[in-house]
Amino acid sequence: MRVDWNPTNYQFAWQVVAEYRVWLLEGVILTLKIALVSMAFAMVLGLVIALLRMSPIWPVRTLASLYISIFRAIPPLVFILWMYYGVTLVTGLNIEAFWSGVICLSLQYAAWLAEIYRSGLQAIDKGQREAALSTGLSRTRAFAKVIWPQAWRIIIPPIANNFVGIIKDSSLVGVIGLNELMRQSQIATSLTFRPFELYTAAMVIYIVLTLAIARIASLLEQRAARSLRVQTRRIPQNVPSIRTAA
Amino acid sequence: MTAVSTSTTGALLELDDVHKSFGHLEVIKGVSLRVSKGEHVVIFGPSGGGKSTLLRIMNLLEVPDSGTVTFEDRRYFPHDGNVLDKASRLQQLRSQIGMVFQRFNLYPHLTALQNVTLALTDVKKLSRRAAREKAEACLADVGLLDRMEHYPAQLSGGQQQRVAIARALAMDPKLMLFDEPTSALDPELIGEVLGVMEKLAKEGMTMVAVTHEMGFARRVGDRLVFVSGGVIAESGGKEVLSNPQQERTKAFLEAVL
Repeated sequence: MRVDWNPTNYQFAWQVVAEYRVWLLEGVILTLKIALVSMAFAMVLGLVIALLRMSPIWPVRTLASLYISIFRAIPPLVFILWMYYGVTLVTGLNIEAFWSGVICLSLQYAAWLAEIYRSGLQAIDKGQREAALSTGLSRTRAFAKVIWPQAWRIIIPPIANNFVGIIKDSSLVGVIGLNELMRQSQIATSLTFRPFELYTAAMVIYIVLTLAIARIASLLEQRAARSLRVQTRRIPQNVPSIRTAA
Repeated sequence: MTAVSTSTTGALLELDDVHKSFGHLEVIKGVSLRVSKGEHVVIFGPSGGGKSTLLRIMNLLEVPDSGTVTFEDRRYFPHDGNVLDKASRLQQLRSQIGMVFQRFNLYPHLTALQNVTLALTDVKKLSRRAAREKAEACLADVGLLDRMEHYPAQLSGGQQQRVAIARALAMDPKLMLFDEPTSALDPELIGEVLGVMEKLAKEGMTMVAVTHEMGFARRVGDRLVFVSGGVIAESGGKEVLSNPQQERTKAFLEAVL
């Protein structure tokens, strides 16, 4: 029996993708802009929150953990609408759509990233910090030179996952009039009545972006892990060693 | 030596009635101990008796609840409060006391050489070149100059511990603390680490070692301190090993020897 996968005999018109390529490209550029700026803020804020979350002072810890719980619980679409339409109305501030979207994504992803940072930092043996402190390093320097480089290696993959997440969630800021990839496809669709072709194109672009990020992340990871791979080269033989006196 | 000793006690390091609890568990129940310059103190005793905690109080990795720590006549944590000393003072203290850990605690992302140079450039503010020269000399001292470009994962346990010793020595410490430095090593690797420690002792380094190596204790220890139940149960010269006075010491030595 023949399975008809195109029962309506739909006539494809892939040329609309080519016709609207500049629109789509503009959309991709804005998508990347929103994602990169939001990610940069989220990474800094997330680290601060992670450190507060591990503070020895309990009210600070509680506040940080409250932040994480709240911002992880809000659906991003609701948050974006609330920020752009609600907050601007109440405060009288005229926040641009771009910054409105960036603020929302940053605040939310900071919560996710904070937990990733924390897991990475807590995975580092306490002895590492103690060794650094015992040689006279300050707590800050011990963090920067000893803890962070090791934690960073561990958290690269989950951070990359979150960057992928931010790219996908940036498709939501179309609702406040930002012409990112999703909204550009939507507008093009409304002009051409070719939702299948244009949304397929949009999906393919999102997939390509995601794969590219995964690739970059795996390169970064390899670079960071260089020192931890046991290399067999250049191990000299017949090493004179201290005579034992046991 | 830049420090002018005006000590009335002649001690390099002195613990005076230190107490330390973790939660409800009192681990150190009032210990006083004096370490003179050039002295080799060996601390031994059953596990859980507070040996490591005591050692960690000496460079204030562990903050005592009460009592004082005095290093070169500078007093840390006066009786009247449990207020943390200023960070810079703590750093200064620690940069003069080397510590070697049971689990080596080398930085896995840095080479042997970088493990040693880190504090030299960061704390002592040596130039990269001077730090490298100093580190090479220290690695040569522990017989690992040819392994300096290796990462910890490429070294045996014994070699890692020797790098850790070099890392501590590079700071020109006035006192070296060893926290069970051979307990995590395979038996055939213990000798090379003890060898380095004995060499250091012969060169006159002041040291406090927590160890179960009773042979080392007998050869190197000027003073043997038996710690059990959070107190110094017995302390003295080598006679502590050959002729212990306390029942607890006797029982322990019979079990380990």
